[in-house]
Amino acid sequence: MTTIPPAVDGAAVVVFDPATAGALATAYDQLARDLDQLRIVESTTFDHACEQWRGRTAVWAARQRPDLVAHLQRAARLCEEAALAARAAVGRAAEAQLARNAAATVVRQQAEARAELGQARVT
Amino acid sequence: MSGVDSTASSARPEDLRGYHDDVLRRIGAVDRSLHQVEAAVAAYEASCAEVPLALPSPAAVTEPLGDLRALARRVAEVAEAFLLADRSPTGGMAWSTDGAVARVILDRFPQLANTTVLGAVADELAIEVAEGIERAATDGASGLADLRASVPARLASDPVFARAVMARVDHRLAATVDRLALDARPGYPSADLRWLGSLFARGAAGADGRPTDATRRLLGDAPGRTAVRILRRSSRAHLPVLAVEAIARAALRHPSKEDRSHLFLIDEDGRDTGDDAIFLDAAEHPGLALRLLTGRDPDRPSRPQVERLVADSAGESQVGLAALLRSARRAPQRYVDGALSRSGLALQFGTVAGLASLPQRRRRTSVPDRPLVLAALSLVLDHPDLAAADTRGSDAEVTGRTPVEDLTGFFEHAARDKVTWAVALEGASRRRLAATTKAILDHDEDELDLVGRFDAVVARAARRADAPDRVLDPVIHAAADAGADRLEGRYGPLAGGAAALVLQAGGDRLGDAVAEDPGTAQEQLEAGGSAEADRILAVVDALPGEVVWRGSGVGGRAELVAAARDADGHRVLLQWERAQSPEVRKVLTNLEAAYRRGFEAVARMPSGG
Repeated sequence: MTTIPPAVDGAAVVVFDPATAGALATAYDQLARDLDQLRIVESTTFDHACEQWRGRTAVWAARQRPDLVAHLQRAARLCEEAALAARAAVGRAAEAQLARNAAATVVRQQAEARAELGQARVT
Repeated sequence: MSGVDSTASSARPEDLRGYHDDVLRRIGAVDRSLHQVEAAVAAYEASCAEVPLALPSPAAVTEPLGDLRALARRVAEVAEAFLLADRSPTGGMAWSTDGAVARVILDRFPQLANTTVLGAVADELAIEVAEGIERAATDGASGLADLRASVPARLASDPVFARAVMARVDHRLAATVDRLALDARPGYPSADLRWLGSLFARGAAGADGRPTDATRRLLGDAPGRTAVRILRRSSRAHLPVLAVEAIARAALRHPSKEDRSHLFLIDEDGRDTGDDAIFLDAAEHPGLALRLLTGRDPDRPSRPQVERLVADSAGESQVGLAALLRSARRAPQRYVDGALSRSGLALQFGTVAGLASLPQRRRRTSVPDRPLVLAALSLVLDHPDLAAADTRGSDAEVTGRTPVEDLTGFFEHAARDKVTWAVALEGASRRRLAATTKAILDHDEDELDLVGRFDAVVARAARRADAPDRVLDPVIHAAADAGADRLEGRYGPLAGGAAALVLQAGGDRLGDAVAEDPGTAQEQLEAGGSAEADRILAVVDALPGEVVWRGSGVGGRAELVAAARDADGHRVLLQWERAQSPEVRKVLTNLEAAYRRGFEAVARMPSGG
């Protein structure tokens, strides 16, 4: 599991809470599951209703469904992708913190080098 | 649309209700999850702001949920309809006919009313509606309210139903629309007109988007075209593009005023708004707008077509035409390989010529004229060089006017309105600066010749626009002459001559009194920056290493810009120029000479204003 490194001296902390990102991923996963469940229940009960359903009303209802089912399926996939993105956000936060740490380290090292050089000139 | 009314129809109502109940229960679970997601998203945005996420729009979930909820409700209504059609289901099965179920639906479940479900019943209703509309031609609106109430909104918006009504009502629609529009306040469609407008919008085109035969028949005569204009004015529902094109072409061939217009389509200023709604429809499709203005064949576009359309727009509101021009400007077909296409050229020059031939007498280019002038101005300012280059040739033999006259007349309209004129001057100045910089860097002085020509036309237009309108002078002088003639007849030529002098002087004073104040176009032109200032600024931008500021009177570019706008700006510019090296001064002299050549070439041309 990715962890976010602590900020080194001189580096700003990346504002990020892994637990909140995890909760978001979980919420999206649950929504995706519920959407899939809805789609399955809808299909099953519609098929059951159609066993004895004849006439124009049955034709009309059957025509409404393909688009609807496709939209539900797409919504569930979007939620799954959102859950993945929320989980990947921890890695992005870690990378951002590492980059800030590296930049701060370079600045500190340059300052130290300048200080050493100044010291050497004095002595 | 027709079906067999007695076709067997059956269902187990409990199964249909079960579908409704199960689906709604599961939707409830999804709703709860959705709320949790919303809360989690808000928490994430509050505590993880530095790592933003591209999350799906809530509508991606809520819209299909809403649609499914609606379908479940309709299915439950079908269950109720079956139970009403067959009050004694056997073993849980309800049996009936499509016709019986359809009638129950029409009476009790309007949300479910559509042509697929209603079948032959919808056909019968379409006939009733068509007959009702025809009756309204003689009875007026009295029966139309009941008719509207008898058609569920869902069914009225069903294109199959709307087409069936339109096919049956045929040319009687024109008489009904005429009657209803005469009863309505001009420009304000009544509920009946809005309803008919919506019905027409849904039923004007077939499933393939082409106008139906009924629509074509309507467009075939003046009353039908007028009805279409009123119906489009009465509804915001969109039409397929092919139907829009057919209607717009009919309006181009037979403009509203040629079709004797209609009181309903005349605005408060007495202008004909008949074609506005039709052109606004067409303006939603830039490619179509360009084709309508310049002709179907992009290889042989028609400049006279757009010219005539603009020139004939006096007395019309011009709102639709302005929208059409703005839209055509956005059409990709206006260009080929980055240059104006033949259609683009026809559009530009036709618009200029058309606008130039509109009457110039009115002082104020107010709404709704302003949109038309601004739309045309945008076209010209996109390519001012083309307009200026056109002044080098002369096709007066063809049009009766020279290109200079056309362009001057065009800008005269712009100069009569402060806002439009400010836009024109801003565009001219921008172009002047760019052309001067290019002339310095590329040693291409031809650009400056064109800029000079353009500015000369603009200056001439400002002069003409500023001249006070003295439209009453001929009348006053004729009256003075007539008065002198009468005195001469009575008292002899001496008395007549003396009286003529007195009357003529009085006439002049009266003419002065009723003439409008001079305009301010030239004032605006002078305040908006000069060619001299732009020339110097271009040199500053193009030769930053060669210009000197010491002793120039100003400290830098910004100060120069500000100083050039002052009343004594010319003196500041002169001082700056004197401080420059001989090389820089020579560049400035050459630039001015090239500009002057163009300017004077146009200025020397005889003015027809």
